[in-house]
Amino acid sequence: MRGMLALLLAVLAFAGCSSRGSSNPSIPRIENAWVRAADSSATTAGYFTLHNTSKGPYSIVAAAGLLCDDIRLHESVHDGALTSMREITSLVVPAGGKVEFKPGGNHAMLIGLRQKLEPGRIVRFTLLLENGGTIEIEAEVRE
Amino acid sequence: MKQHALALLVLFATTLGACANRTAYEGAPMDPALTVPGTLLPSDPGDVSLANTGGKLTLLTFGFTECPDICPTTLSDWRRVRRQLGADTSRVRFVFVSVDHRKDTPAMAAAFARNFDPTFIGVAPDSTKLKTLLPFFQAEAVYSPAASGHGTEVGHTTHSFLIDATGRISLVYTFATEPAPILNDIRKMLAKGEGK
Repeated sequence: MRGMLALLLAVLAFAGCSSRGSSNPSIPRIENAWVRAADSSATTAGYFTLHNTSKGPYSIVAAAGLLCDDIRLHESVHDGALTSMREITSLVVPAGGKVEFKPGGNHAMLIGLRQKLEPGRIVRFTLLLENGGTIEIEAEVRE
Repeated sequence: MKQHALALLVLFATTLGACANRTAYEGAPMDPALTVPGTLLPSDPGDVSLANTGGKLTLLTFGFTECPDICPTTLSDWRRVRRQLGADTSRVRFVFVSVDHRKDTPAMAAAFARNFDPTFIGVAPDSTKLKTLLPFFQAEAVYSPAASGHGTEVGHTTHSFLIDATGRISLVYTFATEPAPILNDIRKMLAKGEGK
């Protein structure tokens, strides 16, 4: 399924149909998008804040991109001093609200980087919405 | 006039408070503060002994190399501590202990730590050594099948621990503690003659 999504995204990109922002009528505002620098083939995380300026909520259900083997949306769950990860299968961004992906909380887990990510570089990946829309994230690589 | 007197009093009290706190550490004291066991922990290029401190302080945390969020956040915070230590860098060891004994090799743990700072040490104890080590820190690691069905997810204690030059696990810092309190405690410990 994820392979197919990645393929679809690749095809869209080659066809020149990929656009920044969203295929939704209301364009979600994205702030402070960044990815932590890491070595090639390593696993790292992407962080960003999604604002929903529209009158209806939207839900993120998955992520895909060509910079790594797989992207999973995770939440770090703290139980006292013990922290584990839980996979996010659907996350609602409420109308007029925002959802933060930040260290120690929600994060996009970028598994198996295809290249070393050096600070200052810009990388892209895509969030897939329950309604079929997409949000393209343009993130700066930081230390 | 009354207001001035009050302001002076507040200032005096604040200064007194600051003086009283100067010797207190900002990290939480470990209770009991055990001395680390003399186990050799496999790393790359060679084994690392926590107990044989070489007179240095040791900042230690647990994690795994596929950790995308928590461990990189902690090691990035440590890097800020390390950079601000300046000349005192050589008096402190920064040790990342992998708890993923099924996947992480000593070379992987070492490379992961070095990726954040060339001076950072990464070790990968086997399951027996981990079972010995974790209780000294009141730390735990749990392994559960990944939700995706592929591999295992690792949960772990996310604290950073400061071990003094005698090998005593002295202070503990919760995840996402700002570098400043850790840096201050390291400096205080070094000023007390701890760490060569």
